[in-house]
Amino acid sequence: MTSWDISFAPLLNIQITVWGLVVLFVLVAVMEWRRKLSQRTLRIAALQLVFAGLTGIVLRPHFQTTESVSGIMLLTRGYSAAKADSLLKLHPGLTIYKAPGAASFAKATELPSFNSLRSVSHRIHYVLGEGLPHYVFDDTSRFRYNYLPSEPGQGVQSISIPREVKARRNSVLKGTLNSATLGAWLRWRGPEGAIDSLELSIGEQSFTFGFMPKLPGRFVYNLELLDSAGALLLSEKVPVVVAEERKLTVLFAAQFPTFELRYLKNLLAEQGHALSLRYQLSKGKFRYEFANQSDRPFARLTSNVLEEADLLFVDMASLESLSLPERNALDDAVKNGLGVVIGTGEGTVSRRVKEWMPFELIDQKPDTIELSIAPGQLVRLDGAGVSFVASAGLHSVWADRQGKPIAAYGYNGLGKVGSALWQNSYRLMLKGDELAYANLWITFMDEVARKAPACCEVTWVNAPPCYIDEPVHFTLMSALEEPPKVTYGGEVVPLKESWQVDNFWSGTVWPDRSGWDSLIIDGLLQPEYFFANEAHEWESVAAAQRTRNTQFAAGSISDEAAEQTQVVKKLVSSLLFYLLLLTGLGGLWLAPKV
Amino acid sequence: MEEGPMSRNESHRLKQLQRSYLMLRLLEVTCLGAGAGLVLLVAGGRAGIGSIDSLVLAGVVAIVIILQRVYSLGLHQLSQQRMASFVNRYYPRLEWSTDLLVTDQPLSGLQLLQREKALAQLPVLSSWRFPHQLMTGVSALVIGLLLFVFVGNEPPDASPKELQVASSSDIEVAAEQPQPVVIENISGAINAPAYTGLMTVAFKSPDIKAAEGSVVSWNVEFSSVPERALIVFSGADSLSLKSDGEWFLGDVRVASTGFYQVAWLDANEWKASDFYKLEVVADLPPQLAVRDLPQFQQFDWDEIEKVNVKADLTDDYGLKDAYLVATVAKGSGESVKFREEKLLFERPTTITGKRVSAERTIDLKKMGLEPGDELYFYVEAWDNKSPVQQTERTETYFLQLNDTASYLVSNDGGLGVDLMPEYFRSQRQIIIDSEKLVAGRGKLKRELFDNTSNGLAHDQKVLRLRYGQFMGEEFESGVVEVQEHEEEGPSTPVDMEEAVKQFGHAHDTENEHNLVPASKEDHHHEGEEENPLEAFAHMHDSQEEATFFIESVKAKLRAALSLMWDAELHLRMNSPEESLPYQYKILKLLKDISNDSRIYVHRTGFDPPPIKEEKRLTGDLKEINPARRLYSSEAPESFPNARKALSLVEKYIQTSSAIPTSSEKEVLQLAGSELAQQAIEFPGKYLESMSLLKSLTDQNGETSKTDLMRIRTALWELIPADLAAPVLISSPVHTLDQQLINRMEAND
Repeated sequence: MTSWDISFAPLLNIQITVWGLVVLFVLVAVMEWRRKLSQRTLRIAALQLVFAGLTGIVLRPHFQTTESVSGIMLLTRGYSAAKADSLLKLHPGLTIYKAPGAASFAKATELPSFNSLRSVSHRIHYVLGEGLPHYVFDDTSRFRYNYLPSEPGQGVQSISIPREVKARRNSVLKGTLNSATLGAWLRWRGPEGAIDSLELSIGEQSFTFGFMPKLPGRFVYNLELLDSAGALLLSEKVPVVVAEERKLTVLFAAQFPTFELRYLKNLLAEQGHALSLRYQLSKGKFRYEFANQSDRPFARLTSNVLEEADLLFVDMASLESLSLPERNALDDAVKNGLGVVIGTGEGTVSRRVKEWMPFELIDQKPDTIELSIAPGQLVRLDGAGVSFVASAGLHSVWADRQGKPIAAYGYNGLGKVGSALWQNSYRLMLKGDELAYANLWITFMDEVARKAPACCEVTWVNAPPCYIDEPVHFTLMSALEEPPKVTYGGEVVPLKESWQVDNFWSGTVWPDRSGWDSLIIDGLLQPEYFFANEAHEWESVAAAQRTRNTQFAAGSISDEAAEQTQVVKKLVSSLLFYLLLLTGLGGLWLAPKV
Repeated sequence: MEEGPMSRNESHRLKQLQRSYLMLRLLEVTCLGAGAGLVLLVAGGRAGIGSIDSLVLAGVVAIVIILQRVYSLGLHQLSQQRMASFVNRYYPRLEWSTDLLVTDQPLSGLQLLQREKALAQLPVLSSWRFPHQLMTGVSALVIGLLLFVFVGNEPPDASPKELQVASSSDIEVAAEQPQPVVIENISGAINAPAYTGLMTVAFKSPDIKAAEGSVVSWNVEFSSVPERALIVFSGADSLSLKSDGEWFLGDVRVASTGFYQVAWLDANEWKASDFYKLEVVADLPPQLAVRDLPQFQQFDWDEIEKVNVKADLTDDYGLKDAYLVATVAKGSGESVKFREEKLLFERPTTITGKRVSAERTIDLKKMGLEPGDELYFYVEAWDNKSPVQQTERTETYFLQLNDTASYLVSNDGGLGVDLMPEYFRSQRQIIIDSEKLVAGRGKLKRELFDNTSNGLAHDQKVLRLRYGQFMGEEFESGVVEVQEHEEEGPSTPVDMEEAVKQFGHAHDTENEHNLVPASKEDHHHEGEEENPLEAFAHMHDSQEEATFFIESVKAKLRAALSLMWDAELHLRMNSPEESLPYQYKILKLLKDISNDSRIYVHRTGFDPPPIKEEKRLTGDLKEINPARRLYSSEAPESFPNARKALSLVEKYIQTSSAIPTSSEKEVLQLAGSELAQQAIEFPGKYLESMSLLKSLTDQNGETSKTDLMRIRTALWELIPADLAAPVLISSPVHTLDQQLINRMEAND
């Protein structure tokens, strides 16, 4: 059914166009009227025709009508022609569209890009092949279709690049791969050269490659596929951002120096952390050590002292001897984020301290602790003669071979209070196993230490790889009152705040060049980096992601829905207006000039 | 009307002539310009000017020549009138009337007549010959083409890796303007030390591999003579090269592996070549291996046999000598005796060559081994290195004859642990052995008795030397070793002293006599009535005497040593009976000295300051200030510039261009210096990267991505793998987090 609701799609601003045409017509009409020529009425009429044609050409009027439309069968790369033929036999009325990169098919209309799917997305009934990229689903609430995926492709199917990589720590790259060739190799290459390799078997398999960056920065590792003869077939870029290192401020409060504290202190001091140590000599008399910072004795643990610290090592006896104001200051500091490591092994624990600690310790017979600090690396340590009581609030950092927590912490407000149930770990240093010693303590300290306040945190929504000329979505959690300001390429990125959660924003950028790129966020010290790949990179991963995305968004729709009607706006043919224009101009031209 | 067609025809004819002339001249000018351009292109390329620059230069010059010729010949304004004038000049038969053919002006009768004459001449002039220099132009073009085809415009590759001799044409071109001095050739010879037996080797590649101690001579040829030239070794030492006209010469004896550069002064600017490897192959000490022999071997007396020792001896340049050093240990407990012998190999008798399989059979019985005795031996070999030979020895091998009659002796006095070293005989043991020997007089053979007595004298001497050390040099220097131990082997007096030092323990002197039972202390010779200690009786109550306490110990020691001389003398004279009284006195003196020493130690203990009784136990800590220790122990970052350079190189790899800025160049140069420090130790590992880094810094051509990755790998390997460090992690606190915590606290 056709409706005469006229709408316009003007080439220029409609108001300017209309007023301009009116004024122009009046001027020309007056001038024509004043001409002392015969057939004045005819000439004015011709002039009207001219302006009517002109108006139609510029304003492009549309009318609304109802028409029956057929469903669309969208063919994407790797589709099965046999399946497409079968569907066409079942539904001869299907309109065929071919996505970029798909093989040609008879009577298929080629889409210039995936973006042009928006106008016809509601008509898509079948999607065949590898599927659609993620950004197609960004704004397609009416997008429902049946999906007939292609066979899984060869090569790397998924890859997981660690989000937070720290210098001199073990990190792991994980992924899955589908190989059709026996004896092929997957090689993991970093700045230091080849790091590791894996001989592939036929079929789908997972892979894990470890690496340990030596220093902070941005590095591009490579995942290489080699044939059985060792010839390089494919090399894909794996971007790794190694976080900048920020030093800790650590307080030690102990009744007396121990070898354990001494070695830990030496390790941290050599690494440049700011240390303040306090050993008790007598009542109210202390011996202080200050490493890598100024001389600031603290006879009492005040709020000021604790606020400046990121981590407090305190032995049980010192904890017991705290005065009430000190206990309150410590409690407040922990609630505001301070990390506390309580030394075990000396003295009994009073009820008051027990209640303060967010975990419970019970005595047990001292024994040797065995824990694996790295794959294949077992470490034996002396036990402290206590063990954690399992609870929901207990977060294990290190566990023994039976899975019992050996170093764990619990939350107290924003801060954490933890304890390590080993003793004499410095013997690892004496044995020369410095790496194990550092790994043991540093991992624990990382978990317990205070988190530095940050204005916001960016999370990339897209799974890697990201591609140039494709949208890259991110979310931003802000701790600021005002909306965050994100700049990309010198332009401010528009952000959209979540209607459910305050200060939770999302945005999108479109990288236009490959390689490292970044978002500049006001308030953050470092830019937020991401890596844009060329369109031809990581093809197998991108295909697998497309299949997963398309499969996820697919829904079953009935075959009857393949034929439906829709209300469409149709453009009044421009030819009509050109004819009017021609007729009018012809009239003016042919009108007698006497 | 009759003149019209005729005039047009002739005008057309003139236009044809005009076009022909124009084409001829343009061809000539183009050939000339192109020829000159090609010559310039070739010359510019050979002179080292970039190919684009040469092309632009040649093109500009060619265009200038063409334009100049076009203007000078007036080709740009060649009209019919000019053509007519031109024809008039060259063809007098036209009688200067060609103008009349092209003029539009009305002609007079005479002019018309003359025009007719000229028209009549035109067909006669069948072959028009215009003046031109086409041959010159074509010749220039041919020369240019020949130069371009046969010489080319590629610049001579002056990289030292592939040195090429510049062609004569390049030199001619380059001679016109001052060219930078470059190295054209590095060659020389390696003269290995004579003992290596290696021939003198000439080298043409600048990377050198030479034996340790070789004299390396360099001959460096430059494109032109620089003001000075040096060879810089591993970025530190340098060798000034002497000019010999065309070549710069220098030689040096190489001792350690590293790298070198040739540096030269050109126009008051120092320039340096690439880095070249200087690998010195060290002369290794001999490699020894004993075949088919367990390190510990025990034999019973009845199955004692000869032991065949097979040793494989190798050396990189040659062996000079090798032998077995065997030590026979006889006796047990504190009466162990050692005898060292040098055993030469039986096959071959002379050790020479790079690889020798030597053998020697050790006859344990001939070596005088008895049950309980042990033979220790090792193989020692010397190489032919000059001036100082190198030696190497194997592990010590042990051969032991089992003693089935051995027994254990326990110390009395309740001591559970025998603190005495077994190889050192005390005075008490010498006394016991002497008494035993005296008791055996008449039963033992004279020869055995004398030998035993002599052996005891040697032990007495060793003990004397030990105690003599406490008395200073005057007593030790007085010792003159006599050849009384000739039967024990070729030991020299020096050897004996070393043996004493080796087998003696200083602490033995203090404590050994504590082990003597009290019952034995009183054992002394009946005839001994004179007590030498009386003069030094313990007079502790006398403060004055206490000050002479050290002197008293010295006096006792001096007396004991004097007695030791006497005891040894009588033992040497095979009369242990006469030696025994002296030995008893010695024992008593040593016991006294031991006790006195303990008192001395006690008296020199810590003497605390007097305690203020009024402050004692008051708990007053007011005057005690807290101890503070302030330090900064952060280890300096290793290879800081290499770390920065690594980020830069990583950036270059990811971007298409690797053109460092001036500040980046500075960082790269500093990183190169850090790399050079390591390259001295590992030239094979870092030298290539250093060259690539230098090339990147100097912008000598475009650095490929592969080269950048090599630099990155080298820098990465340079940076040590430090221990992990805890880091401060940033995290925003969202209002929801805070609300959650507040709610949880409220619930608590």
